Amino acid sequence: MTAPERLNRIVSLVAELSRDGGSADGISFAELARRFGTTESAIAADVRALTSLGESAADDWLLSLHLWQEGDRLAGTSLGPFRRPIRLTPEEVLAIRVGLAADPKAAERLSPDLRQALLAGGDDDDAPPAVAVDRASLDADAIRGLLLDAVHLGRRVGIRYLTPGDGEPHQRTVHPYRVLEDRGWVYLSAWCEAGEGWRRFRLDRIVEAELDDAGFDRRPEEEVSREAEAVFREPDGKAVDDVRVRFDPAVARWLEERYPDGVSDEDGGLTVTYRVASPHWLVRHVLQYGDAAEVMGPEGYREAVVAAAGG
Amino acid sequence: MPRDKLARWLDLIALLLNRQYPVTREEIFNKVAAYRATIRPDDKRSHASTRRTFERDKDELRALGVTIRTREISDAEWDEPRSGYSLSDRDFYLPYLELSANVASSDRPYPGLTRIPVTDEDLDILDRATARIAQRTESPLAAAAQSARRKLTFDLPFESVEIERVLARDMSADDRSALATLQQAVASHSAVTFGYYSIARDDTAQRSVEPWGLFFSWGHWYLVGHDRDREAERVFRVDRMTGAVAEQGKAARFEPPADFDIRSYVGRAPWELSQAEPVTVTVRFDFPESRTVLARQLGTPTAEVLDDGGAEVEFQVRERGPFLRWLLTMSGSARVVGPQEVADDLEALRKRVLALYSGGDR
Repeated sequence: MTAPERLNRIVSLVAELSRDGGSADGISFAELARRFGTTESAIAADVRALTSLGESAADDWLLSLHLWQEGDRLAGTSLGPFRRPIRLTPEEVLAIRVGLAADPKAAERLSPDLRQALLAGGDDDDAPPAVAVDRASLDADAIRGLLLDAVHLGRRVGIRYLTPGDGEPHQRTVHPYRVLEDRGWVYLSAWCEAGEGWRRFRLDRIVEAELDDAGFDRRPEEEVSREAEAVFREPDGKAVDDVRVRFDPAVARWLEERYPDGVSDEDGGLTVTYRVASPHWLVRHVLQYGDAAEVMGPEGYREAVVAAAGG
Repeated sequence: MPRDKLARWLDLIALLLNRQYPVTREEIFNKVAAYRATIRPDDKRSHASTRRTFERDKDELRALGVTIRTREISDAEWDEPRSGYSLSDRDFYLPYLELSANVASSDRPYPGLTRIPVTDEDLDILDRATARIAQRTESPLAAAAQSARRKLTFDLPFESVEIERVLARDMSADDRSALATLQQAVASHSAVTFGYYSIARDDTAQRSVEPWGLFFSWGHWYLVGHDRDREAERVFRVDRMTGAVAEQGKAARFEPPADFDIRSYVGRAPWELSQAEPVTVTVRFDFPESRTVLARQLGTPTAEVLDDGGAEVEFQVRERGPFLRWLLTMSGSARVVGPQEVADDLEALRKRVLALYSGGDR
């Protein structure tokens, strides 16, 4: 079974299970096997493959997936991706065209939109998308998209920004210069009109952003360069660290299977090395074990855990 | 290995679908576990080989009709323009094929997708066109026609005779993992035994359980069943099991209770998954963590969006351990308002964690 076949099947499986908010009674493995032209074992294996995507920092989407099995029936909901099948592959489109060609009059009777979608030649346009949104609220990704557009177009942005411990959110009009990522946090580096100075705004503290029609006069280039050279480091693949975490013997016992490369010690503890791009993620991951896990090194990560735990 | 490639593709696709802006290659390599694992920071060759894998992945996905597009991002005039990658809903999902105009918008989760009206005559034509090729099993396009039909039937009710032969029924697990064993045991109503680590008791014990149901929530698999030794309903985390084995023979057979409904467990928070008496705990969250907690609907807000963006939320906590450990991951942005006993327990846990890092050489 090839990866493309499995990908198609897994996406269609999630789509099937989660349509209409998830069927009350679920669908039997036998029925799913029949629908997808495969075996019940393959369906069960697809479920395992889908949910074993593990601990990468990007797997928030798995949190939006719920699946359940009662007897031989499977059901689920997804609030995120994979709620529809993948679009037709070029080969599938070809198969449909060949089938239609056997009855050319039939093809002519197809509705125009459908005919266009199925029989039109080449691929979609490659034109870059227009500005996606001009106001984004609460959704960190939409806010980031809007800010990137603003930087690209040289437009002013109005933001509502909350600093912890402050009262009301602040309303600011800013001139955006860059969006940068540093150690897992994303920042906007901008000139603030009210403060008449350079500010860095953490994106997850921006409650709302609105794109202005107006552009802005750029600060003098030497100043812009100086600001760019300050503190921030662009994500460049060097920002990956090897972090060693030791788990207590009691917890280590059932982690061995998940971390076959872990190193056991005399006391029965298990040390696992994580390759980490985001300290933020690693700290959360370690703290969820309470005092049964300890970061051994690098030192910076030990400090990060202490800081996060309120020390 | 095909399974690793599949996981890599799913991660890459989910990452890009989730973003509304182009993502740089560096960020993709940091966020997708499979790429991250192969990059050595100071080794140019590992960078190059990971890049080649990424290019191959894009090409193979494009052959499936999944078009990851390259966009130029120039976020500052003095920078070299960089490439970013994006995958829109339109370039991934099947467009909406609408036989009738009465489709509720809640059934259309992806607003950016094209909607194509389909008449009854269209339906008939498509049905026959795809069946025609699918039935010519000697043709290389038969498989493509069959999979095209499967996709189209997500929206359209094809009437034709089923073409697919029903393949082998058996759900035997060639995978020895606990999950594979449990999937089969739940389906066939046979009891299982496994070693299980309980954090609360800090011990591992052999358990014998009638598995009533499995569910996946919050990124973990759980088993709900009847513990034969304790003669009570229990919930188990599958990743804390070792040596799960289905029991054999007549004694292994059971019938789950008729009124058992696994859905009452799905979506419950980890601290709600037991039969213990719940304790009401009120917690105050700072912004922006408050946003995440509210979005996940993990408790009942008593005061949403306070002046400083925080929130106060009430939880029904049956298992204090998981709850406290979860609060601990909030990096000090969570404060237990009450009861005092729970606030004290959280403080004690915090101190125990900090004690690991103070004093002594490592």
